[in-house]
Amino acid sequence: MVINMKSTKYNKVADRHKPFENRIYNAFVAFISGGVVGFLGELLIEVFCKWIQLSRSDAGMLMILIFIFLASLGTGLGFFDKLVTKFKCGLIIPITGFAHSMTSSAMDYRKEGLVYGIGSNMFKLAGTVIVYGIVSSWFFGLLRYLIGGGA
Amino acid sequence: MTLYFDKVYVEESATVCGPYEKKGPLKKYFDKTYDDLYFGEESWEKAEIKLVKDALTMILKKSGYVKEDIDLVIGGDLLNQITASCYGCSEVGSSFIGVYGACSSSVLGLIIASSMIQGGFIDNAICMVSSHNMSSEKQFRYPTEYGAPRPNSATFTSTGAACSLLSNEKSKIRIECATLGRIVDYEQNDPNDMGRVMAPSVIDTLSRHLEDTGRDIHYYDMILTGDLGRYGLDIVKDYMKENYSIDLDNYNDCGVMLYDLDTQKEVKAGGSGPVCSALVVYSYIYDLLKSKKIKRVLFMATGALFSPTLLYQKENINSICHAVSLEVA
Repeated sequence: MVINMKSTKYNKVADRHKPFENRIYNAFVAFISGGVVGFLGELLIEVFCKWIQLSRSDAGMLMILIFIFLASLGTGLGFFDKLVTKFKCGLIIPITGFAHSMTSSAMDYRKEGLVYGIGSNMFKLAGTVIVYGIVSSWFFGLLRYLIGGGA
Repeated sequence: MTLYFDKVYVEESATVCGPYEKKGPLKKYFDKTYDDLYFGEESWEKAEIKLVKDALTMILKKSGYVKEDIDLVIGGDLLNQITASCYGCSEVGSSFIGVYGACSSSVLGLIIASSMIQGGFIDNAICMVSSHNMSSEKQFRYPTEYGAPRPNSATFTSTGAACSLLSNEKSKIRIECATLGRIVDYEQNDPNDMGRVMAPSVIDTLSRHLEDTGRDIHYYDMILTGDLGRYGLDIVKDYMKENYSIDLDNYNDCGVMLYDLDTQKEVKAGGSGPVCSALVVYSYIYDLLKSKKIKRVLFMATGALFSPTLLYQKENINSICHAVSLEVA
């Protein structure tokens, strides 16, 4: 109880010195940069469909592969983390963020060897996305089966 | 608890730092600086060990001592099992104590060494601390190449190693007294706002130090905290004024002094890490004391006592602050 009173008193002072975080600006930057990534993705799909006559789903797959490759290469060359710091969620939410998290983890632990380093740490950040991606796809699959009869 | 010393002197110091600290305003005070973060080593952990070895070599060279003259080395850093100190200090061959007080390790080492010298058990001791931005990021936060956005309140772990050689032979600076910190819990839990987490420990230790010694705040020419950053500094000033009616006009923070916060935007609120306070005090502040520009300094190193594991288990981040009073002898 004494400690609680102390903390309340302290928090009152500390709150006065909380630095301003420009969330609206950050959201705007992420919206624009994320939008540009989406636009480039769509552009690639259109190009693949038109010029090399891929089906739309194949074109989408190829576009994702290219984005993963570029993000991983950029991480390896050491400039992608600076872009992410600048454009924030605009690059984290698309597949580029996923690739970035895997490559950066793998790079960080490469000195601990292939098994104990890269193997066991590569999914350090991306593991969460995969686990809950699978869990939610199972859940929505079940819903779809129960409601729509699997159609 | 406040301990008084009358025969503990700072004989020599040595500082080695990385590229970000080199760009800061205190560059000319450091003994050795590097332009990259690997220092010719192949991993971040080994790079930090190299820094420790460099600083130890430097202090032996500057003081004219050989390894066999050193009675004790006290080392501290942020890595798990304080490995940078353990591996880095192994070549000296003297007795070794590894300490962990997070970023307060610098003053913790000074207090332990001072007590042993005052007690007459040893003649001299080297107090070493180190930290490395990348090895800390890897251990406490995200992989180093991961560009996680950080809020403005976040601090930046300094890269470097710093040593102080204490002895019972009279020199220009003496360690006059020390107040040991208590573990303080003000129910803070934001790892991206360490200034806010650690400011309560400064308030606790500072108020107890003044009470124990019966001194006025202006007894000291300068009061320095370790690594609160610019917002933590404001909190301490504001809180001391509001609750203790103490005007801290002679107060600054090493995390703010180590970098140029206006041009070095990447450090956000300021520097942190055990070496942050040591880099500033063992170079710039020792110089000021040696040239008698200032006479008395209260050096308060702050540390956040937590691990990512317990943070994820919803525990608060506790903090501690050890203070040591440095005087012109």
